[in-house]
Amino acid sequence: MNWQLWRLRGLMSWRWFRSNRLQLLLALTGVITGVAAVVAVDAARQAVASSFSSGMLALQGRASHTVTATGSASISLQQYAQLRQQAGNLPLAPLSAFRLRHVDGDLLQVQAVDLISELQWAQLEDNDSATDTGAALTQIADSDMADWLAGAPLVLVSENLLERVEAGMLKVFTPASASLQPPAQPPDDTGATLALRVAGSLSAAAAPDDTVIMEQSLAARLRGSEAIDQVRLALTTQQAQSLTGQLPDGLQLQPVERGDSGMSAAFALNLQAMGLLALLMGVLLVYSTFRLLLLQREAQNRLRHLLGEQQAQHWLEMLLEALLLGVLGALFGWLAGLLLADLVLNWLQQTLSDLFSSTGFAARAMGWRSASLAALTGVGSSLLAILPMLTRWWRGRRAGRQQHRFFLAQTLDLRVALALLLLLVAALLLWLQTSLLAALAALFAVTMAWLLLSQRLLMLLARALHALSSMRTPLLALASARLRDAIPKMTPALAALILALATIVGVSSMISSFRNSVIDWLQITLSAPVYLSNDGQTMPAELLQQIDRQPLVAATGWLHALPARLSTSPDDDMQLLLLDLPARGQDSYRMLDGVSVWTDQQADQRKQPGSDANPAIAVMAGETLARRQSLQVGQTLMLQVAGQTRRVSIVGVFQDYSAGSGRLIARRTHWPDAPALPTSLAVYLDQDQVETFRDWLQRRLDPASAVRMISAERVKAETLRIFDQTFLLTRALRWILALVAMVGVSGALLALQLERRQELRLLHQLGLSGGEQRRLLLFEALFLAILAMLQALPLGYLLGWLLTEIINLRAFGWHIDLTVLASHWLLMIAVALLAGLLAAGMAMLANRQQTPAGHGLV
Amino acid sequence: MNQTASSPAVAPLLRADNLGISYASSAGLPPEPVLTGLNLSMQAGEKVAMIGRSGSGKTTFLHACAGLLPPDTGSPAGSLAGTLEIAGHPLLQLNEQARTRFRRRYIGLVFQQFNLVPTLTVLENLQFVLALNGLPTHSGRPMQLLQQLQLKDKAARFPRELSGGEQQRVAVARALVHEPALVLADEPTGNLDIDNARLVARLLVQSCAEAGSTLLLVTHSSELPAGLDRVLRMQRGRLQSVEA
Repeated sequence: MNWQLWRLRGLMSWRWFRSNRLQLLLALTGVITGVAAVVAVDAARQAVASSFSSGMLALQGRASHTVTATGSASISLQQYAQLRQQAGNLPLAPLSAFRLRHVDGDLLQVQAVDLISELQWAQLEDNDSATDTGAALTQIADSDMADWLAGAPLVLVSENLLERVEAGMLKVFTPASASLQPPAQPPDDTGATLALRVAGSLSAAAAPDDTVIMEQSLAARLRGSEAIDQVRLALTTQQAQSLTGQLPDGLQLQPVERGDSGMSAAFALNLQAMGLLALLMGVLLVYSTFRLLLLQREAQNRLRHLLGEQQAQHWLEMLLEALLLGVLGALFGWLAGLLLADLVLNWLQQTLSDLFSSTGFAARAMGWRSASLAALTGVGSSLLAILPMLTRWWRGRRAGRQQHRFFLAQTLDLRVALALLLLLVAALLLWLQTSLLAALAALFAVTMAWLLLSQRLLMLLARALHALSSMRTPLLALASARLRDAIPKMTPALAALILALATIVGVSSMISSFRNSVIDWLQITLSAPVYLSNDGQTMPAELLQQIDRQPLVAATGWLHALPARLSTSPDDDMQLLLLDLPARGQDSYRMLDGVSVWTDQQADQRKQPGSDANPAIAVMAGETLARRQSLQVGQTLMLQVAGQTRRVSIVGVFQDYSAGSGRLIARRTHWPDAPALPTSLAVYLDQDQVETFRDWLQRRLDPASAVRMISAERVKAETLRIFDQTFLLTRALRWILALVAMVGVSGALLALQLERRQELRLLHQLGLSGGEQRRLLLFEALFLAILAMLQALPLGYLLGWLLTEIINLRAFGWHIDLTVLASHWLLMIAVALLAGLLAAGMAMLANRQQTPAGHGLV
Repeated sequence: MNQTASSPAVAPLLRADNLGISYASSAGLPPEPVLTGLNLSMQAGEKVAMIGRSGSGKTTFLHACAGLLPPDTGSPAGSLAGTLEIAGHPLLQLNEQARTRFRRRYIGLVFQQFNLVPTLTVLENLQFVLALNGLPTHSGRPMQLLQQLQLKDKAARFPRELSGGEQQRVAVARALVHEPALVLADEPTGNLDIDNARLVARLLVQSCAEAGSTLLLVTHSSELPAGLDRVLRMQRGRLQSVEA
């Protein structure tokens, strides 16, 4: 090792950075912003995903299996005792769920638990939410255990119920079935209401809204039954198999199904795509930073080569420098990214208390994932920036300008060839593969191809712009010429801006398209102004009769949901909806293919006397189900419903954005042995009579009744509220990308101006005034924004189309029409212009330091 | 007239036989010849000036001697023909790495634009060349040269703190510090006033003589320093005449 040589090399690097502090700052800022974008998007994505998952865990815990009674019965105490005996030391915890009505009229979800089992169970949990529940229960065990076990009206409530707690009490209607006896009955109970003492609260992550947790014994007395709804178990596959054979009669063991709603899954997928685009943008920004840094030092490096320094030694030095700066930038970028994510999440938490749980900064900062991503982006992209020069050294083995031009020409051709190859790959992936992964890969390939073509396209656009501006003023012509010359150096930074702008257009289009489709669907589907349901049970017959007699009600629609399975796919759960709708409700399904069961003439003919003795029943399939099972109009299937197998014929496919596993719809009158009562009821009345009807209904409902009324307007508003909340993070992350791209491009432009300051000084010496210089820089930056915009627009719509029409369809089986809105254009134009102005402002600021004389005449 | 310029020594340090260099023209036009059938021989220790108008091929020949041109013929970058041998090294047959090693060890370069490394001091500029060659950097050689070139008190200065004449004298010292076989000077006085130009030219020739290095000085200046052995005149890529 030639230490003297390395000492001198170190001195050269150190002094270069010391005398070019702004360049160093820009380089570090470039790496930091690039890394921060990747880390922020990923950390926010992870935090929200873990929040959703915590929410699921709060509902289901760590249970791998549940034991329930077969049929619709509950587990008796005798069965539970037998189960405990069979299970031995296996961890299990009983759970009963029922509803209580708050004195305000709202229904509360009650979860009844066994304190002792639950405390043991809590030790199994290692997630934040479970620890929260465990801690609250432990607190009770320490202070109020005797009261709790004695069945005192002691409860834990979800955070949102705290505002309804008065003097430590939560007031509910006492169910008619309750058998509360002194001393459990508090002295302030009056008539039909009961005050429950609140012993603690559970955060939004630990318990969903409107949740009340109480001891089994209290629950038994409130319900008038000691039966248990389900028993949760944490089992291995072997333990589950072993226990299945030993279960007491009348009990069944089922694995816990974990799954997000369709909307959450769409959201997660969307964030994944955003993460992918952010990674690409981060890499581009870091790459651009180092390319500019290397270009700035090219003259000095060339001189050293003239003095006899081998290029390999030189690149090694550059590599070490890139490594050092990359590590430093990655470290600060990591911290900046986490801070950025924290800011976004805090803002989200303040905006949405019911969707996102608190995930502390420290928890995210500890993640190896974000640290690895930061290192990969920062250091990996820095090293990547050296690669073209290494390639040049490896392949060229020549010196001089001619060789350089030759290499450049070759590189450009290689880029175009690679871009065309990627487009071909994307087309093949979309054509031959129907998987979601293939669609995501195609999205990545198309984006990469477009970015690889960006230098060629930018040059074409810049030439056109120059031709146009040359006809105007000399200053515009000079600005466009300078920009045209800068494009080869600016391409990576411009590509990052193009990507950010395209992401804004693409993701906005996707969200708008999705939202508009959901609005349309709700508008069509919710034909009645009021809907009634009974928690999955059939509606009380007496109430139905009363509703039919109610003069406000013009008509009612009848719906009964039954679990069903196709004979060909017995593992695929779905729902069969038996409907009996009045004429005005029969148009509430938008048909994508075929006809609806109400307009299917053959179905009516089949019902005529003398027709086929065992006719296929006409059904229409939801789009999700139709795509998943490849169902076609005209196809006949065997359907297992309520222990019987029926032959059904698909007459149409309807648009269906509802969550769940998929739905088939048949007319109740065509279904043999249809249940006598519905599980839901659509009530048709005048819109302005909804509140009057609600009051009328409220007076007729038992306080313990699970019958709920919801207006169509409320359903629409709630659906859109959840939709907007769900995609709020996506919108926020879009802005992070835009902000980072703006800073990145401004930095790149500033670095370029610094490199060309001698040229600007010359122009100043030739008589260009300060104002003209500023206008020159402004025109350059605005031209740059225009070029980026022109290239981002097609890519943006391509991304929007891929996300909407391909990826959503493959992921969820939902067909969504791409909506193109002028507001997306305006948004993109605003961001691009802002980036241009920021870049111009920074360049002007740097230029202000220069005097015409500078270091003498140039 | 194509003329062989040689000295009657046994083993010439530099030998060019029928050397031809052409650059590629743009837009697919045929290569443009820069040097045509050049024959030249230089003995070790000789001091030769090469004069001629701009574009006559002087600098291209100098670059070829420094190993700064691509070796393979027929490439889009242009073509090479003939032989060019310096200190026994067939330059046109060497690859990039070998030519860089050759340049580092055997060649000292003086440019018109000084080309000092701006982030190194005067002394460090000299030490850098020594370090590249694996020679001891703290020997008395750099200071001795600086003293000889009247720059001893500028050793710790950075290039930007020196005048043009001083910078060029540092460049001369740097070109000689590793005792190269051949010093190539490309218009070394082109950026200097008359007094400084004379001083630098004189010191360059004198220092080469003291170091025993061969000197090839390329210039279009009519005023040549004393102590040169020969003057070659280039015209349109050919050696037109030799003056003693």
